[in-house]
Amino acid sequence: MIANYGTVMRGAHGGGVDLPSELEPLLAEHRAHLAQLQSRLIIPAGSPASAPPSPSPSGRATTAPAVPTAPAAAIAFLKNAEQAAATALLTRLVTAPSSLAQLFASISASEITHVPVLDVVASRAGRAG
Amino acid sequence: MTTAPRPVSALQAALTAEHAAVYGYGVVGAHLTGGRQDRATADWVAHQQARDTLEAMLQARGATPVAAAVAYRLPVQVRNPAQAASLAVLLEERISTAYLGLVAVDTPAVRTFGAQQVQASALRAAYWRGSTVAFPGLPAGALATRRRSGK
Repeated sequence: MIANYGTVMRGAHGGGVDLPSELEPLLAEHRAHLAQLQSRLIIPAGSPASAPPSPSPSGRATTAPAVPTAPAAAIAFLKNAEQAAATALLTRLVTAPSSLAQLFASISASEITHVPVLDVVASRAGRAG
Repeated sequence: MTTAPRPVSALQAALTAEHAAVYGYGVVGAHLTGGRQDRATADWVAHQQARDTLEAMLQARGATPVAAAVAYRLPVQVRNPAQAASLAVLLEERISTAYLGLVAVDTPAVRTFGAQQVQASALRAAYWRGSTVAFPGLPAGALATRRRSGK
């Protein structure tokens, strides 16, 4: 999410839409989420999560979807990503230890509150475009 | 290792918070007009529905749902629309914390319901506050302090 926001905000400069000021608080919250997750997750050395990325079984590289460059499309991309992330955490928290489940639930709730903010930004971007 | 809370006690705690929210939103709505009052009414109804769901979950477990009090001491005085919005934020913050108690329960259905309600409460709080927060429902003391880095 942080990388996605960074891409959109860099692309917005000079685009005629004041995206950075709207997105900065959301990005700051994602950074806070990451800091909390990193403080609680213990990843043993040699585990899959600590290993470098490897090619997919099909032999094709797995890459994140490209962030659209047009402001309205970029905001829609972020909105979809927020919704997907919030939903994924709702699934993951079911099997997590209690304290981590509570953190997942709180982060999921934070992410879902970003959606209406992005709706407002998208509306402005659409009018500007 | 901590023991997960029992579902009934966590459900009762959430229900107690919902009773207070239902009462509080009555005060919130009384100090608003127009679209803001409509929003308060919609949120009031949402809390009534959540209350009813919690009562049904308790009854399904053979427990007697905790009853609402006749009146509640409000955390802030409400005399104008701005104070009404502040009360709504406080109510939602308390509700989010109460539902995080359900998320700590080991029963998957209870945990999922709690998490969905934290989402719903966070959305309402963000509307009344006019901004979002990083950790809805989590007290500051529950958050670890460490260095920042990129995600």
